[in-house]
Amino acid sequence: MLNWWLIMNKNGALIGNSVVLYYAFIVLTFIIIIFSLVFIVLSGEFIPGTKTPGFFVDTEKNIPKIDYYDFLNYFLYTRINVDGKETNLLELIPLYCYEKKQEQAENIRQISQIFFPYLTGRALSCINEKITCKDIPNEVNSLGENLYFRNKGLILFNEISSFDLKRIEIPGFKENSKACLEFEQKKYDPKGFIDIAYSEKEFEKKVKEKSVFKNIPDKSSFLISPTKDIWRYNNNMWCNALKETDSFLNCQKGISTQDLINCKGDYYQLCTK
Amino acid sequence: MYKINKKALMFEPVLVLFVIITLSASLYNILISSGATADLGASSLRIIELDKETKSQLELIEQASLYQIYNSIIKLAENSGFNEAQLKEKCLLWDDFKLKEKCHLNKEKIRKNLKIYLQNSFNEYSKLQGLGLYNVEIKEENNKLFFTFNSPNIVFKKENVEFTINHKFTKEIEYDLNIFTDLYLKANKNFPDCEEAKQEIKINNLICKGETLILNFEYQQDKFYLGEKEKSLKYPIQPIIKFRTSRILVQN
Repeated sequence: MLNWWLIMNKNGALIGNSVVLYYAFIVLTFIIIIFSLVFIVLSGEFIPGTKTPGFFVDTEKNIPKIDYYDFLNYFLYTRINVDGKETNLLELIPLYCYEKKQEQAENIRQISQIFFPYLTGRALSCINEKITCKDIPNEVNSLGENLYFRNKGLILFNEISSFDLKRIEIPGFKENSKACLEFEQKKYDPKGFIDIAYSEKEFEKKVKEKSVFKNIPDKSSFLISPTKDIWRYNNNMWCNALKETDSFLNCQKGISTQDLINCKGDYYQLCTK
Repeated sequence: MYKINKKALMFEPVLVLFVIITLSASLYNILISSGATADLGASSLRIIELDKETKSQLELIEQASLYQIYNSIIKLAENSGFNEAQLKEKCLLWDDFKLKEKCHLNKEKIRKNLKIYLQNSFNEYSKLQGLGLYNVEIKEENNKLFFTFNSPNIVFKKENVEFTINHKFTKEIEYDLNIFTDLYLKANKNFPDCEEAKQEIKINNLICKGETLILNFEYQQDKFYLGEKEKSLKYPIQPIIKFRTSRILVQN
């Protein structure tokens, strides 16, 4: 039987032999085990990767989702070529709300489908000049669908399926041309943003890179050319994402990689001639 | 057998006990202050969030200012260059100033009237957005108009975070305000073609229609562009300068 007296000298200091080392290990292991168990129980992490409610507050819930604004900038301000004119959604949305032309609505729906990540709740509706987005009642049904956008207003799209939403008011030209955009507050990964080529050289490089793969992940198959045309590589061909695709944005007709490089991605001037 | 100091004998068990008490106290402290720790990261992120939200809102209001500029020019043109106070004074014809001094128009007054329209409509919009009032200044240079919007001390607030900023920005558009004064001077020296015509006539961009006592004019201007000229979309509303004169001009 090991005795305290045996491991101490007469001043009470530990004697440096192996027995002391074993003692130290035993006591430390005991402390580590006890405290680890207590922390695991309190933090609620019984199984790695899963979380059960513990005593500690889940801090992730309280962190504001700031990626939302980066995505908003990308969504509203990215320049694109629509019917030969360079524009962005910040101009297209009020233009539709003012003129109410069906083809404009189709363009906005398609561009939104290209820019938004899959399964992201979103709704867009034209609103009266005298009201603001904040005035619209925030009624959401049990499926997370926004009742206002379902029943009122001129709706461009309504694919809400989330309770964590944020609203942005898009300025309009005149009466009834303002719009209210509502979409999910979640993590928007900039890697999921569409590739943009600002120079011919960069465009050629990116076209070649994308053409190597037969099945590239969906958002990576899009490319905005220096002329601001949105191109998609799909079914071994390149097509204009707004003009030559079906409702799932799959190419219906298109051109080869070499032809796209030769026409420098200029759909309206060079590629269609 | 060693002769052991009794005080020294207590050192090791007391040390172990002390460690256990310290760790337990730390754990207890973590548990009771969980609310504070949860807020630590969140509050700094809330500052970043408010900053991003502020920038986003200001960018949108700057975009809205361009539309307000176009609308104000369109409104000024529709109202023959008169402001609302002049219209209340029943300034209807461009030769009315010969009877009422208040109805007189010149370059300075037209620019001032444009400023009034713009400042009123823009401030109505910014008020709806929960922002402060803006002062607008207009400058002209080589057929270009420069609009400077300034609002000192706009407060942005979210929970316990508050920003105060001085928002000042300038928008530039291509537009020649001289067209108002050119037409105004011309209108006060008669339009012989129009006076003689029995039906609506069009001379270049000017449409003229004679009525019993007055002549109605519409001067059609090119639409504005939303971005770079020719490459970008056009603003959907066309500016048309509408004005009227007496069929027989009152002589000075």
